[in-house]
Amino acid sequence: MKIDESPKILLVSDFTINNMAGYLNNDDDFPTVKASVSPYGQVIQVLLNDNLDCWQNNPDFVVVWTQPENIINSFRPLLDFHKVDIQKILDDIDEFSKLLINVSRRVKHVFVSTWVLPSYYKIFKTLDMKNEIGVSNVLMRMNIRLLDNLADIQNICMLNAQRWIEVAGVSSFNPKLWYTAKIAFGNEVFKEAAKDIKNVIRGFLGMAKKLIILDLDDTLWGGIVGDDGWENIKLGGHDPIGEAYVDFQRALKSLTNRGILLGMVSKNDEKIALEAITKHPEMILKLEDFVGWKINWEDKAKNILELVSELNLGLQSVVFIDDNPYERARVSEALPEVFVPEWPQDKMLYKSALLSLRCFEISAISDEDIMRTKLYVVERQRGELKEKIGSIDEWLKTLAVKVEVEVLNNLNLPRTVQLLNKTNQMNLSTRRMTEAELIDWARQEQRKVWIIRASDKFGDLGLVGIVSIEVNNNIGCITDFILSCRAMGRKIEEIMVLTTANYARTLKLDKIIAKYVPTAKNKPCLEFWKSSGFKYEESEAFFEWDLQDDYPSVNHVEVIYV
Amino acid sequence: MIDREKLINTLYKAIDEVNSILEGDKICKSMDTSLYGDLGVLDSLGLINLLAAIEEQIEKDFGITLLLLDDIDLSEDTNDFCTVSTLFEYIFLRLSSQEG
Repeated sequence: MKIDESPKILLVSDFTINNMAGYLNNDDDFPTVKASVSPYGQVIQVLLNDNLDCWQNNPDFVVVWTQPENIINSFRPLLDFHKVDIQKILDDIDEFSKLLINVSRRVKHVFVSTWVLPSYYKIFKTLDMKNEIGVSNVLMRMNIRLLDNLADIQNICMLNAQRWIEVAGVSSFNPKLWYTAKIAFGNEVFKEAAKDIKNVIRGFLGMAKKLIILDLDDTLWGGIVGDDGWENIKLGGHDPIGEAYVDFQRALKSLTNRGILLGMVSKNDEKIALEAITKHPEMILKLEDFVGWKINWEDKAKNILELVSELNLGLQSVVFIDDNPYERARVSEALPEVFVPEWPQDKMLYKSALLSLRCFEISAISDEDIMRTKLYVVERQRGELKEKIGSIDEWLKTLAVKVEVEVLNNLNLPRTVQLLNKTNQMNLSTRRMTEAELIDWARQEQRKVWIIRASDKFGDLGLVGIVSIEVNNNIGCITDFILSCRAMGRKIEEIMVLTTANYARTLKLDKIIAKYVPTAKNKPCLEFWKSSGFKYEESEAFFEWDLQDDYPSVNHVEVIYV
Repeated sequence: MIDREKLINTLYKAIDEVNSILEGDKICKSMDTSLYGDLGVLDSLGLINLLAAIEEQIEKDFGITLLLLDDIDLSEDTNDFCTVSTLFEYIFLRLSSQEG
């Protein structure tokens, strides 16, 4: 699936799910999708038989949304308050799980919604949560069993339908729609589900937001620090607003544990603002929680642009939070790629507003995600060193960059796929693939995939790059050329090219080529290739190196081929 | 007495709701739009969605429970749902009789 194609989604359900297809298809937010509906009430047949018409357009994603009493027959008697055999129910769930796992081999991702029931089944409140006889009790066990069965399948994603029910409130279940058209839920539920699914797909496509840029006065704390002094800003204490600011900061800090970066852009005196952060005893966010800041009296849009550029991120990765509607409007207008959410006036709603943003979706969490803020802080220190030292070569010498090149294997596969699917800027072709697809692609004899790890004197950058080549007719075609923005600009790009060139020479190939596939975000990649020394066919966005000539070696970087 | 203007707005709000799930042709918010039958933009599922949305909107706007889906006749020769105008008159009559 390419990033600019509309993903195809097949909805498989035992109730009428056309309304959700409508919401998905009518949503213009990126990416637009093409949702279709499988034949009504034929869940098992559809999951078993990929020759059915509904599979013929090769959907990228499948949503399986079933009603527990329909799909797990042994559960049904419990709704009539008969005794049920729990083990039989769990066995039936195991069988259903096998079908889902089977489907996961056919498509990129399977979304499975958890099972929910209308609240009227909870008529006997005291019995509802009792083992063996309580409807809610058994339903919870069923969902846990399903989750456990599918936990190790990378491309199956369970979605929490209970959340949609809670958001939809009293209109979650509409018996009229059920009796007249077998629509199991109210439209508010489908709306929420469609939004969640689109959000998860955006995450898969590497479109999740990565950086929250925050204003300070009346955003991170109450009051104007320049006027009031850091001792008098509203933060913590026995005060509802002060507590709300502390909670908001805590929520921001929690997001850094999921790899979200924080930055500051504020119209303030830098010294005074930073003093508040370092000295205020109830400040939850510390200076080391921020990957960068621009605190001055200049235009915030200009400051955001500069900060994002320093961090090597795209503007599309940014969320800007500011209490001031004027500043929000200014940034929205000047930088339309930046997501500027409407922000509540009521400070007590800050935390819930933050945690309701649907833009940070990631499908997995790696050690590097958890460490990301630290990695960027170290990167800032590198930058400071760069400013002190004049030339790139001198800087690299001081950095003591070490690069390890290793072939794709089962151990590095998960992180490789994560990098492949989320890197936008230094990305030659922006292919998005599952683990199974990448392994399958790399298995062919004429193809080779290397992964790149890097470190320097400030620390380990981890797995930062992917480069792959496919050989045809004595020509090596560089298919993937991906480098994390954290590692750009320290000659790792040249080492990646050199790796493919050396490999191509051992195979006695004539030349290597690279075809640049433009997206809205990968211009930095084009810029690198233009400076790579390869011959550039501009009309075809095509780069070529004749292997009669050696590709230049790279100084001041230690390379280890593992 | 049911306010006709207010009822039209109620109807149009329900149409907006249904348009967000309709694929292809949307329901144009004018009285002569064909809704159901040979020339209509709605299939039976679309009509059910529209009537459910109208029931909900009437409850909100007028505080009246109007049961449109209970005795729904989905045969395509039903005149009541032919156009926005016929649907409006049908609902207006039902509401008026309920009020009376």
